[in-house]
Amino acid sequence: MSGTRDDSVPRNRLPSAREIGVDDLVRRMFATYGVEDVPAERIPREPTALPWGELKQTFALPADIEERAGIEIRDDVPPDRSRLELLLSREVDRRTAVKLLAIGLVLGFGFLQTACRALLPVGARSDEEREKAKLSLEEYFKRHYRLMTDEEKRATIERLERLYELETGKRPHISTQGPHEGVLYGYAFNISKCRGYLECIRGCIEENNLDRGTDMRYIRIHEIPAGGFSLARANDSFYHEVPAEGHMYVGTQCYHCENPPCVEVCPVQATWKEPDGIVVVDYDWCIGCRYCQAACPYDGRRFNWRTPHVPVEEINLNQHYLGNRLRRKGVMEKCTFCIQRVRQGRLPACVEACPTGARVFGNLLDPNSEIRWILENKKVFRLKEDLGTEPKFWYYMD
Amino acid sequence: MRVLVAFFRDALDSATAGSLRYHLWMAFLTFMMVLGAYAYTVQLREGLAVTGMYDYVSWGLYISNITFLVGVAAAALMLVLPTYIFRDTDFVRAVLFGEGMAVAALIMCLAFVIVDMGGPARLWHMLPVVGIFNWPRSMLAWDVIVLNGYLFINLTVPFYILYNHYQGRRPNPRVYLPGVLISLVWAVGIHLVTAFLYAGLPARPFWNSSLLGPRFLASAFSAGPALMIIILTVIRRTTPYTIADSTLHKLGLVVTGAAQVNLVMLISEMFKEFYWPTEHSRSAIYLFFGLDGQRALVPWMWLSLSMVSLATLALTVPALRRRKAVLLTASALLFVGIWIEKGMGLIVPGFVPEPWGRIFVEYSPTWVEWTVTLGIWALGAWVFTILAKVAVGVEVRYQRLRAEAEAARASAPEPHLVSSPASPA
Amino acid sequence: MRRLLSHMWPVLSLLPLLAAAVMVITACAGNVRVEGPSVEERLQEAEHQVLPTPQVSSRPFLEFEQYRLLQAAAGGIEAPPVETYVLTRVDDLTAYPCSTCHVKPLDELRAESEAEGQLQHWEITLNHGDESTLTCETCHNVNADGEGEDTVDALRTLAGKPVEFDAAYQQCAQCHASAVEDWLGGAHGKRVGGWAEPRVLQNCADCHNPHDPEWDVRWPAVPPKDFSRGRGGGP
Repeated sequence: MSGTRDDSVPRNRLPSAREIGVDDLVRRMFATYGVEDVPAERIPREPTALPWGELKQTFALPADIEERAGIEIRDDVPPDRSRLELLLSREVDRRTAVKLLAIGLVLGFGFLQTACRALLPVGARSDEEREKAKLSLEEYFKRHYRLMTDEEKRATIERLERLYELETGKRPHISTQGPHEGVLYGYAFNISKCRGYLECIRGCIEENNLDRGTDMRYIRIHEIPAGGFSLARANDSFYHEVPAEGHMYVGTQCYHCENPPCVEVCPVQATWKEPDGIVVVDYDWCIGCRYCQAACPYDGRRFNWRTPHVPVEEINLNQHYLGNRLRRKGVMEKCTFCIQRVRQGRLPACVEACPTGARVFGNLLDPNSEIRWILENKKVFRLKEDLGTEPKFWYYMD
Repeated sequence: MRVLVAFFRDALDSATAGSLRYHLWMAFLTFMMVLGAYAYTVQLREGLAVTGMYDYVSWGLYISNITFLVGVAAAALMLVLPTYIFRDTDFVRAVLFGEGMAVAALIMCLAFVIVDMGGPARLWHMLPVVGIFNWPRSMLAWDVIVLNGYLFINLTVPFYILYNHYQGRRPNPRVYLPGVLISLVWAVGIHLVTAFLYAGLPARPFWNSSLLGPRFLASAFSAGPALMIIILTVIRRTTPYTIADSTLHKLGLVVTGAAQVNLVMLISEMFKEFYWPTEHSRSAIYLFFGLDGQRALVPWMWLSLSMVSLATLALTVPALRRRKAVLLTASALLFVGIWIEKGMGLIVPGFVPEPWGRIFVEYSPTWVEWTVTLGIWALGAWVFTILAKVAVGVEVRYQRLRAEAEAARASAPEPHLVSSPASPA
Repeated sequence: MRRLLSHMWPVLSLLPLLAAAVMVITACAGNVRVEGPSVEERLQEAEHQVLPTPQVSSRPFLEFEQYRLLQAAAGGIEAPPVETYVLTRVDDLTAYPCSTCHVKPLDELRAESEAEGQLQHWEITLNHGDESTLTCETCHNVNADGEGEDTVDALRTLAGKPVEFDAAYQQCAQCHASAVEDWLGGAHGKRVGGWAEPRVLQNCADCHNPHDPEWDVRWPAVPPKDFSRGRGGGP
């Protein structure tokens, strides 16, 4: 908590402002609080002992600042710590306080630490960790995504991007792009074409930043023995040359039901169906009760049983708030039809990755779309249709 | 106000003072709670991955315990109804403990809910106004309401009665009877809502049954009073509070009736599943016989089944039921049997096989889950012990005050007071 | 009060039932209608109303110079009702135009090549259909030396009409009519770019080797999910 420190202090002490880099810190403080009347180049780089008069001039402080605060500081000598602290405690104007903190930094008094430690969660050590703590705190109190104003959305995106940047040095782009009017997404799966290559699973893992730690997958490909259509007799853990003789391959994933039971049961409405038919999760609103997972008849939902791990070099930085942005432990996630891609007009990663063309994706409301052609010209069916969930995922054969 | 302060001070005195055995018991419970808290910190740090749960059995021991304990809490109904409504004097001396048991069970339920959450820190999202409460759509939202409401009722009604007894006054039925009436409705509500929470999921055919709710009630009304019989026996042995044999026997009767109904329902469920097994019976097959070579639950289920049937048979014979040893043993068997059946035997098979019919890894609770569970049970026992201790203290004092008052009035008799020594509660 | 209550108990025991009934009704009320229109109803509804054209396009994801417009109704095939492109083939061919070498009859050419020890694409064995049905000449104009209809730089239909390599699907369509119909409709083949218009399709030969159309048997791209990973205490 104290200001000046030297190297004789034990290792686990707080690093002083000097070690963090005075210049950088002061710049950031000034930028945050809009202090524009102090040119950055005039701020001393290293801790020095400038006299008070010079400091006042350098930091563009009002001439009568100490008089107004009712204390006396001599102009021709450096101010001592107690005087500055007194001034800081009496001077209420925020910009002046920031300047005083900066002066404290330059003098090596470490005022910033003293001031910030009182405001921020304990244990924050470096400037970065302090920023992280502050951002996380603000994140914790944010609202449900659907209740956020555009301004709030912008702020949370900024925080999330910054947090990830602080952690890894890479800054993702998180989109909040909304649904297009006149679009309802639908998916068709050709069971006579799928050959079990599992390229879709690989594409999905890479696109959606799926947890490599627990080997999470949204898609399952079931290898069904010929002579029936029983998924219970199928095997989705095959690892041999495919396609295997006498087997067919059927993929399942989230069906984005028109009448989704998972949405119905969520106690906090953290999951909902978007106007373009995509069932999404607000990862930061989910409380992790897993009721939706129990309610899903199609095994469409995945839970983060531990903090998900994606190697930094494999991160997909093109993200969406409701899509493939990085999740935390203890929240539900699911296939979003690659919302970050499809709302831009692209195909979901699984469709793009499939070499056989067994996967078709499109706009159900467009009578000229391929998916509509399939619904009208092929013999299609859906799974567990008797449950009344209205999946937007059809199967068909050549 | 000063009386209120004095009440709480005396309650604190009464809860903290006691024999060596009492202190040892409380110390043991505290130790278990600390152990549980430690295990919970491990879970908080690592995530729910340290439990045996995974995507294909996403509810386990914690939710199992909630399901069972909601039943225990609801069972207070079986004591409250005869006492307050039917004026059955045999239950008068037991009802406060019944309500205390409900409070303890509800606190355990809430604790289990919290430890089962992936993000307990974000539970405020459930609060109306600041968060979003998906009511009336989500059955879980219903469950939160009914559990908290029931906890409130079961705290206030006994508090009012104890507070009056503490002052030597007779509680006014006009004040507490509305609360009692609501609690009756509510008791059925909490268990039905909990059953509907499962029964409303078409994704899980094992739960998606109209018999689930009634069967919950039947099993709860046998397991709850069974626990009550055991607890009352302990209280009778360890405290000066007197409980008549007839109270225990009447409770035994309640347990017997409920257990018989439960057994009938179990048989009809098994008939439906096994006379013509469809794909929807695979969970039941897994539970009773094992499926695809996976049979972790089979021994437990048969153990539970034999415990429940044996206890029900024993209780059905009046001559056996009247023997204290048989009654106690049967109660313990029922309690444990229903704990297995309403817990792991209900929750886990709902998820097995998974929606597309496969079994990946069989669920078995890890040490973290067992330790947290034990810790929460210790918390429940701890809460109940304190409540019971305070209640016994107040009630014994009240009995003495009444006796003194009667003695004082012996010279100038007032027949109507003397003739009804046992006031409600 | 007390006397009243003692007579009221049958009524009171009905209260829990009443409460349960109220609950059931409240919780289920929204569901009785089976929750909103079905997908089918939504589609029918969409037929009757003018929907805004979605402001989405696949264009940004396509490199247009690579693609060629599919001729509408070419070769008797009905083209889709939207702007549709097919990936061109010619750039993928290793030795095109064919007329660079095929200037004399095939027998002569072969004899020459064998003498030089430089055989071009003789390794191709036709594994497509039956020998009595399909030979090289069925699709290629191997012996031609002419211009116009007789060019070697194009495929040849069964009726002897030339088909540009870029429009090879017309060649396939002669036998695989239903597959090509599915392909144009959207049920067969792979689309390039995005789901929005314009539609860009891969040519038949982008996926099927015309000389050996059977697909590979190979190992899956990823091993099966490992359920032991990330569970328990381990990483």
